[in-house]
Amino acid sequence: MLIVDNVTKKFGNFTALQDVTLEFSNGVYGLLAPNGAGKTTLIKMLTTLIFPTKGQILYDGVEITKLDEAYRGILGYLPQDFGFYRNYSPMQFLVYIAALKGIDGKTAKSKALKLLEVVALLDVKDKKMRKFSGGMIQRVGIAQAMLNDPKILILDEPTAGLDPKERVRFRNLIASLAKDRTVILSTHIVSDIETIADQVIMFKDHKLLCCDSPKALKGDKFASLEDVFMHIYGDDEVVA
Amino acid sequence: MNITDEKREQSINSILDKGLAAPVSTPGFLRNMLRELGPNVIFRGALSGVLLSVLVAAVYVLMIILYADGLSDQFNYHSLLFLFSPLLFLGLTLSTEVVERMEGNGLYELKMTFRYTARQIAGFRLLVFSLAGVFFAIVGGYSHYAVTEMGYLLQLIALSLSSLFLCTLLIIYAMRRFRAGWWTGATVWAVLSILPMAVNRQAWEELLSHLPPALTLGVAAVSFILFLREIKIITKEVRYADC
Repeated sequence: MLIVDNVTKKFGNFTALQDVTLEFSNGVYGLLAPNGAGKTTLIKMLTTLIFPTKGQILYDGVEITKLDEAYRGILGYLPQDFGFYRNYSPMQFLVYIAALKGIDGKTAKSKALKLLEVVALLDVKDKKMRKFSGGMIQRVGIAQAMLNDPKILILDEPTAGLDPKERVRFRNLIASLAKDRTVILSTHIVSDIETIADQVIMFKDHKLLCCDSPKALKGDKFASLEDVFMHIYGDDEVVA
Repeated sequence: MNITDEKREQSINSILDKGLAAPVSTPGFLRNMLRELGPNVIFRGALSGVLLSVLVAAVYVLMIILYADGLSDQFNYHSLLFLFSPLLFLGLTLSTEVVERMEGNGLYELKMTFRYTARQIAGFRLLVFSLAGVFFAIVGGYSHYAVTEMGYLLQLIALSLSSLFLCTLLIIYAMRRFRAGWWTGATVWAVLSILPMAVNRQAWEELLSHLPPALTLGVAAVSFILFLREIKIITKEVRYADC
């Protein structure tokens, strides 16, 4: 289980997140808030890219910094700005990333082939990625995140920049990968969350506002999750 | 949301079940990295930079050998040797570590979340490049000796090595502490080496030419030990500056 325990993150005098406490078990968690609310800050702390100013993040009771490579070994991450080598084919890229994840060459190749099939890129596995669409690149991104069969899969704005058809396809893919693992999905797009998240986490004014199921959040008062968000964030930037 | 006593107990049991793993030493960690990743992955994309750096370094040595006689009155051999001994190391790190960071587009950040992080791999490469730098420093020292006959070979090589390891220490420290670490380190090195020449060229040359080899070798040894300590921090340190 992944626990964020009373975490505060400050950048100089600016407080990006304040006193956040959360528990993540298996399932899909949607981090939903307007831009600048602290979603990416939380994700960067969960991926050990930055560290809390106060509080701690624990995996199975041990602080993730102490777990070091053992924690990174169970982590799959797709950053908001996913980088790739344009002159590599998806197959070459996945085998290279697999090596960095400590997966031996033989396993890496078979794993890469399986994942390319899952993300429907098997027919272009040897084509250079420079000509790929945004959706195809994001699917390569998901495949690299899944290479080590992560127990924690973290996706930062994975549908940003995708057309509606690609977004639906991507959501279905994420839902299919969510079994037996924790998937943490950050987005400011309400419809991404509504269809696949078991729990929705919202921030307001850099503090945790709520963590509950979409159904519970809607209750009897609101017809859709979008209404809930408009009620909470008003004129803040929210994309339906 | 509170963490219940039951969950805390479960977590403690889970840790105890796994037991404690013996910590891996830095040489052991580097050996494991080489075995698991292989040179192809560790030095991915470094070949063109390495070739360019070697070419620049070779041109420098040739220039000393070919043109030193004609320019001997204007040359400050010891000052130049001190300034340029880290040339190969600087070229190799610029063409690999800086380029790796400049590839940008999220890949560096992503690589920081893998089992072997981009920083750990950079640490390995810096160590290898510093050893390549030793070879260059010795060749550079010898080339000065061969054309000037103004000092003992050991003295020149000792000066060259002290310059190399002072620079490697500066660069690795700056790279660990700052995002634009290479540029910061290289700028400080250039200022430290050129400023005395600009202020009083003769006095600086005189000072360097009279430094006893025992002192410069001592400086090289201490700098190298501190450099290895920085490598250890890079390969072991999870927490780093949020910069």
